[in-house]
Amino acid sequence: MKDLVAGIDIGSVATKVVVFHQEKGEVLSQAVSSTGVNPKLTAQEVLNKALALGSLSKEDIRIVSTGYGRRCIDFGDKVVTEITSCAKGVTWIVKKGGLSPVRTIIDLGGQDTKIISLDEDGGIRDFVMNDKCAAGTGKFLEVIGSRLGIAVEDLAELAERSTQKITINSTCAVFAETEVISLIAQNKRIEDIVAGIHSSIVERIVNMIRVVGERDSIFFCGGGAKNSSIHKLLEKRLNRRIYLSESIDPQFVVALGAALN
Amino acid sequence: MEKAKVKRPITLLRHISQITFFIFIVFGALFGLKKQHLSLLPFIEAPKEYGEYKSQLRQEGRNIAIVGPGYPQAFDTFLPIKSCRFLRQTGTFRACFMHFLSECIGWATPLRLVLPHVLLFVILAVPFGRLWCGWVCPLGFIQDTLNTMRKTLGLNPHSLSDRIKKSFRGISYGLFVSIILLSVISAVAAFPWTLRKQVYLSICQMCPSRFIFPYLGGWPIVHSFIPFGYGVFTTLSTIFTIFLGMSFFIKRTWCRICPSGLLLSVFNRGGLLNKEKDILKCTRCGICLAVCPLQNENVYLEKSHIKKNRMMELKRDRNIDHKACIHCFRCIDFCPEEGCLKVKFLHIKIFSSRPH
Amino acid sequence: MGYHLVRALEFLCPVCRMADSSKEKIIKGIEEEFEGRYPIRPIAERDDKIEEDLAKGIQKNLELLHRYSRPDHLSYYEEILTTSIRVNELKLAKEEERKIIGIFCNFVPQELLYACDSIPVRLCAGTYETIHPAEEILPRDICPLIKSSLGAKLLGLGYFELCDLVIIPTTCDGKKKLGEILNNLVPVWMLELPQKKDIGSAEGLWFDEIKTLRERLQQFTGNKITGKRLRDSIELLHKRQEVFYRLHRLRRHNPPPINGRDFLLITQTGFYDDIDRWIEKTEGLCDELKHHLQPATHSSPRLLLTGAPIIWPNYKVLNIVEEAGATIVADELCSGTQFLYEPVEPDEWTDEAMLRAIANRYLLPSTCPCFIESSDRIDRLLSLIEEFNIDGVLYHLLRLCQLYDIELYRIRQVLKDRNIPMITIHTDYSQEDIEQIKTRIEAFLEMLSNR
Repeated sequence: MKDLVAGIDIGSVATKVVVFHQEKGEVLSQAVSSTGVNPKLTAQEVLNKALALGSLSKEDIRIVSTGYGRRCIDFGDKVVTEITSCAKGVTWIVKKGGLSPVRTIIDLGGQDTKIISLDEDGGIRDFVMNDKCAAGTGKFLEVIGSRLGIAVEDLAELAERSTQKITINSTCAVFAETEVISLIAQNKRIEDIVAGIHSSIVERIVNMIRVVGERDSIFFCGGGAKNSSIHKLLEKRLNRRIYLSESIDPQFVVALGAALN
Repeated sequence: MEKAKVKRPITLLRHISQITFFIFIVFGALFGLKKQHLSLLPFIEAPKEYGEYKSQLRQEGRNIAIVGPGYPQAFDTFLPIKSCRFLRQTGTFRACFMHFLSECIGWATPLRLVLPHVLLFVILAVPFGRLWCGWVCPLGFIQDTLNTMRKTLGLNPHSLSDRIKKSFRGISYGLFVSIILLSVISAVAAFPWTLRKQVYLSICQMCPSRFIFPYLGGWPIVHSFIPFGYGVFTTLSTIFTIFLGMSFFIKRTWCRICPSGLLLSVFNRGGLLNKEKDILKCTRCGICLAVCPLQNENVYLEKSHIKKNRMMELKRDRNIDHKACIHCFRCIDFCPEEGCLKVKFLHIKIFSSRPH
Repeated sequence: MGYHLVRALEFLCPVCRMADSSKEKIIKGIEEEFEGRYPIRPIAERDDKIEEDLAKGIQKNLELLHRYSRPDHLSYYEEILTTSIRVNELKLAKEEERKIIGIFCNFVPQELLYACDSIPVRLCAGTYETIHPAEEILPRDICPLIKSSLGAKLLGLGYFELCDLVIIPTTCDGKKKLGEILNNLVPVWMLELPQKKDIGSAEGLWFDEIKTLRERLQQFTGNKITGKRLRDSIELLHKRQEVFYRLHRLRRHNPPPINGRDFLLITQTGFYDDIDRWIEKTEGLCDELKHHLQPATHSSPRLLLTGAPIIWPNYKVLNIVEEAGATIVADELCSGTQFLYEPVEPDEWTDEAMLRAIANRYLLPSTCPCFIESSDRIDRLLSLIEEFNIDGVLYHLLRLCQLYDIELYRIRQVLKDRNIPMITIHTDYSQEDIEQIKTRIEAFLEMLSNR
């Protein structure tokens, strides 16, 4: 059994690779790139990038793939789903950071939002994902951002400057877009609209948490965890502290979890 | 080849039991079986002084077979069923418990003689409750036979509405109370003799068995409508016999008002013989209710939302015993869900429903 | 005078009284359901491409199934579902002036249909390809089963084209309005289903409805439903139920001798096929399966399938689940186990008792969410979970089938209290979300294997 494992998380937006030394228990290198239209090729490139960063060779490592494109690649040794990976990754991070055990994970991804409920040992007790519709996912932000002509990364900052509360009623991304257009027509401030979009996502997430039951501690990861506004709104809404990954970039958590296999 | 399967084994068994007991009880004497041979307890002799009424009646020109205090026979009780003492010629058992009670009160029999019989009744009734009605009682068998005749003719059955069912239950209580009251009246010396002799042993006077069994036993009795008191009771017994005859359309009509059954039904709930229903396995198909001869909704409603909300308990096996249940176990025999309905004796499972 | 005498006699005789009152009701109920004064004029055209696509989808299902070693007897069921054998048989039957009667849902008493010498065919459709044509008439936001069924009729596919009559119970809103629309294309009778299923008023209403149906069927087919015929058909269907029950129980075994897709395939062949042949073949299949039971192993997760109906060829979710390594060992689908599970057990063979037994069987044990209360369904699920040793529950939801969706919350809570894992799959007949479903199901199975 090789100790060096590369976890490849081929998501709908970005492909992430983490190379992990299982015996030493440390992350050797990581790389990310947007997935594009050819996930297999992208995965190969990102993996090479990560290997180059850690000056490693492909022969020494095992490859575990996860995410949407987990079955696209033909050079993997094992396939796991992102839910299992995410739980593993978070459990590892929490243990390393010496935090209290996490029982609920919010993984806000590009196309899917997952709420995972863990038991005491870090095993998955229950999980929910959004259905086919994009409500409450990163996609929602992306759609609205592109409609407003704002990059996804800048949305959080904009939202924090909001002064007036706007409620977006539609949960569907397509309908919400229409709603935003009418809000613009009403001369509402962009900041307020963006904040409204954020609270809409948070509401959706909170509903999903309710399904599995909210239990302490709550951990927030996935690409969406980079958005500080959502994090703050969630804390405020759930009225408790929500942990973020500190030792590793939130979007690598799933890839790290895969590498722990 | 698979063995030929009996589709309804319990019902078959019950029919066999019914027929056997019917022959045994109604015609047992023909095979040399007399009550005296089987008696567990001594007979209670009627007080001698009442013998004089016999001759008095003779003087009045009455046939001695008219029920009344002119017929001071030794009496006792054995099985808690409805047989008849007018089965003198052919029957094995001659008395039902209601007759015994009525007679004891009428004669003011001392308690020390009565108690052993009551104890025997309780010993037989506690474990089985109204099982006697469903499996042993010859009157029950006659009603079932009438119903079978209707089935064979292909005529539709008639079911009773809730209101009528409830009023029947009321009649059964009324009947029981009036029988006891009339027996007391016949025992109290302060009442005039003409009244006392007419209400004496009122249970036998109005019982439909008085119409049925003597004819079966080949010893028909005279049904007198005179004087007035006898007339009332003979009319009543005629009505009850017609009522029993209605079990051609309505299953077990007499059982719904039978005072003996009422006594037994005290031991139906909380007795040793219980029926339980696993409410998870029950699919609420309604077969149990449809096949119940007494239309006991208990067997079905035990799963309904009305009861569930009231009880708010999560117990899975629910007791489905009912006052009127005669333990014919048809519900269990017909229930298609494996292990849904169970019969328990002393909380030990005896048998349960199975698919067929 | 004579009238009063008859009245008096009737009053005395409960049977006469009953027969009289039911007759009055029957005469009242026999009018047509729809006035049809404003007919609609759909313009859907038959498109050969659709049939091609349909065949492709079916072929794909079969390919996936053929990857496993399966009992020999299954080829018969595949043949009935995928070829036009049965359709041709029905055409012949039609030439002999037997009526073909289409039915929807699980509430139309097939005993009555067989007793008047007609042939019932269950029409609930699972074809994605026929959805698009139906959207000309029906709104987009309506359950795919309704759209698929209407589309199949608009295109005149197979069994739909053969039906002389369609009987639809008023279950969900979709079915209700489907009746009105279909009535423009083929005669439709609606069976009025009570919304509550208690033994008080609802049972009586439904019983009258069944009586009326008998009367109408006699008129429609010209064959009298005599007591003997009714008894024969009850016994025939009882036999079918017994065989089905045998097959159902075989799935308790670990590993189950048959997978969920094959089981549904068998059940759904029963929608269309000749009942005698189906009984005979299934009998044979059960014998075969019994001889090939394997010793207990620590095998794949055993799942219970519940929720909205899954109908051939829409085996998308089932394919994903069973390809991912789990087996569906029990189901609570109206298109599966619930279709054949309950027997008709008349108290006695009199007319009234038989009809009542039939009426009760179709109404009372139903777990359809169109009734006001869901406890029966939950009880059924819990008892199946126990009986079949279930590891997890798969809740299949068709988008825009609100009834199953509404019951989801309660059921999730009940299962959570009992620590039984459940996964909800929200989907429709289309193929576009296969990857998303795969992720969910694989994650669910990983979760089960780590428990």
